[in-house]
Amino acid sequence: MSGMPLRGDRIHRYVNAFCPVCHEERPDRPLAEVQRLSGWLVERDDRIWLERGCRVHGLVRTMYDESPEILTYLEQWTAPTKRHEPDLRGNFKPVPAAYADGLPEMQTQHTCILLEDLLDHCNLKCPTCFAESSPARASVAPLEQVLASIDTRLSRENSRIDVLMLSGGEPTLYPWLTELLRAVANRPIVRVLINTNGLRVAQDDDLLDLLTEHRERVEVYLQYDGESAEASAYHRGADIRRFKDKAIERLSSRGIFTTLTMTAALGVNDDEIGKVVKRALDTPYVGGVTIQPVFGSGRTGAIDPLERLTHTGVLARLEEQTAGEVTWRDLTALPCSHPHCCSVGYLLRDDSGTWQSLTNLIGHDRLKQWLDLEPDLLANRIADDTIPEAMKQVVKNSLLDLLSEQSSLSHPSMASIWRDICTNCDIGIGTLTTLATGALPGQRRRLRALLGERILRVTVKPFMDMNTMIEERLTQCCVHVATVNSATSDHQCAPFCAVQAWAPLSASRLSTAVGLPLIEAT
Amino acid sequence: MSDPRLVEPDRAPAPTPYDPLRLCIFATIALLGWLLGPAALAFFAVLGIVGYTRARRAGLLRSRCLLGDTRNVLAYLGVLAGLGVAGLVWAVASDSLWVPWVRW
Repeated sequence: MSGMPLRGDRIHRYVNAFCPVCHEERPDRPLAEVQRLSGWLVERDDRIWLERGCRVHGLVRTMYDESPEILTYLEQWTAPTKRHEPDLRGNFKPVPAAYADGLPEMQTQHTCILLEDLLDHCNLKCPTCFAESSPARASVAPLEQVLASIDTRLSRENSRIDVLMLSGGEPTLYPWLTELLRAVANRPIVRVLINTNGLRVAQDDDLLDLLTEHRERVEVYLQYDGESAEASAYHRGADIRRFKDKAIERLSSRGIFTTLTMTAALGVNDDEIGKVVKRALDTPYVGGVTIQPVFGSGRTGAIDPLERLTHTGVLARLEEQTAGEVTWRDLTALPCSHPHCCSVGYLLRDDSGTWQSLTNLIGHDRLKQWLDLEPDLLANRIADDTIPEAMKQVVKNSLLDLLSEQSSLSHPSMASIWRDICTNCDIGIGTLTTLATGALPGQRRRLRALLGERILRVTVKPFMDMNTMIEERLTQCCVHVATVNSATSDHQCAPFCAVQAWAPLSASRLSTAVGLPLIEAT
Repeated sequence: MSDPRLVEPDRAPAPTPYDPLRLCIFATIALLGWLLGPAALAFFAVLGIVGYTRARRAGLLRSRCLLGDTRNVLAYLGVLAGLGVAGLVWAVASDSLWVPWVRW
C-alpha cells in the first residue's frame, strides 16, 4: 500500500488570520463579528502563501511574501520586548475587538512610535492614501485633544515617549503646528517625526523656519516615490516631482534630518528603489530611506493579492538596483518588532568615500552575539573574545537602541551610540576622530554634519492589509495610532495596521473622532 | 469570474488498485520458453549479455542481481547462452519436438 502522498508544500508557521473576502463584503462589520481564522504560512513554488479556512468561503489563499529564504533570514533577529500598560486593565478580548478599548492585556510590546493624526484634511488626494485624506475632508483635532492624547500615552509609558509621529492628513496644514511643537518640546518626548508630502515645505518659508527652530528634535518623513513622472502620477495623482526636489533641497540646506519615504508598487516604481536609495546616499541630511510596499487599506484598491510587491521582494531588489552597494544581507529585521514587520540597515561612508553597512563592518555572527541572540554561541566564544565585558555591554545596549523603531539619526544619543559602535569597527581614522571629539564643546555642529553626510538608515516597512494580516504581528506591533474610545471618549491607541484595516477603528482615529470642521476649528 | 483567492484544498488522488504486471510478464516468458525451448534461452541470455556488457562499460560494477559483481552475472548469462546453443544442437541432431519450430 502506498498510503497518502506528500502535500507538495512546506508549512512555514501556523498563524491566526482573517478572511479578506468577508472583509470586502462588509468592511464596516462590527469588530466583535470579525472571525479569527486558523491558518498557516506555507512555502510553495518559492513563495510564502497565507492560507486560512473561512467557514463561509472555504480555503482562502493569498501571497504573503516573495522570498522564503530572506523571510527565514529575518526571523533570526528577535530580541526581548518591553512591558506595556494596557489602556484598559482586564481587557482580554480577542483581536481585533480588543482594540476598541485601546491596547489590550495581551499586547507584547510597548509604544515605540505614537502616531497622532492631527487632521483628515490634505492638499492632495493621493490615489493610494491609506488614510483616505483629501481636501474635502476638513476634520481637525483641537490642540487640547492632541495634547491630552499625548499626555495619556506619557502616563502609560513611564513618562517618556520615544517617538511622536505627527500625521494626518497633511500635518503641515495643522492650524496649531507651532503651538503643538512648542508644547511637545516641554514634554519628555525624545523625537518628533512629521509625515509630509512636502508641498508646503517646498513653498512656505515660515514653515521651514519653524522646522529649523526645532531641528534638534524634529525629523521630516518626506513622501518620495522615485524619479519618474509615472510613479508620482500613480501614487500622488499628479506629477509633483518639482515640489519634492525643492523640498529636499530646502530641508538639506537647513540641516534638517529627512527620511525619504517611498511607497512602492509592483510594475509602477518597484524598479526605482535603487534610485531612491542613491538619492539619499548623495544628499546631505537625508539620513534615512523607508520603503513601504503599497498595501490595500484605505483608498488603495487594485493590488493583486496573488502577485504583489512584498517586504522580502523589496530586499531582494536592492542589490541589482544599487549595483551591489546595498544588498539584503546589509539589513536585519528590527529586533524589537515582529521580524516580518520591519527590516533595517545602517550604511556608513568611510574616509575613502566608500559606503559600508553595519552588518558588513561587524559581521552577522558578532552582531548576534552582541545582541545576545545566541547565548550559547556567546558562551562558547567568550574566552577568546578580546572585547572587554564592559565594552560588550555598552555595544549591546547601543545596538538595541539603534535597531529599534525609535531610532533616528537625529536622536540625541545617536552620537554616543555611533561612537560606541565605531570604536569596535574599522571605518577610518578621520571618522573616528570626529566621533571621539563630538562630545567636546563646540564639536556638536561638526558631529551633526558628519552624521548627516556619512550615515544612512535604510528601512523596509511592509504594512498589512486584510490579504496579509496575521494576528501575531498585531500583537507585537509597536507603532500605535492614537484613538478615542467611542463609549467613554478616553484617549487610547491601537496598532497601525489594525486601525487602517477595520472601519470601526479607523473611525476612532483622533482627527476623525474628535475633529472639528476646518473653519470652525480655526 | 470567480475570486482567485478561493481555492479547493489539495486532495490525495483516489488510490488505484494494485497492478500485478510482473505476474503477466513471468507467464509470458514461461510461454516463450515452452514454445521456443533452447532457442528462447539462447535469445534471452544473449540479450542479457549485451545489456550487462553495455552497463559495465558505463561503470556499473555491482548489480542488484544476487550474483552481485557484474562479471559474475555476465559469466552466468554466458553459461545460459551456451546451454541454449547446446540444447538447439541436440534438438536438431535428435529431431526432437522443438525442431519443426526452429526450422520454421
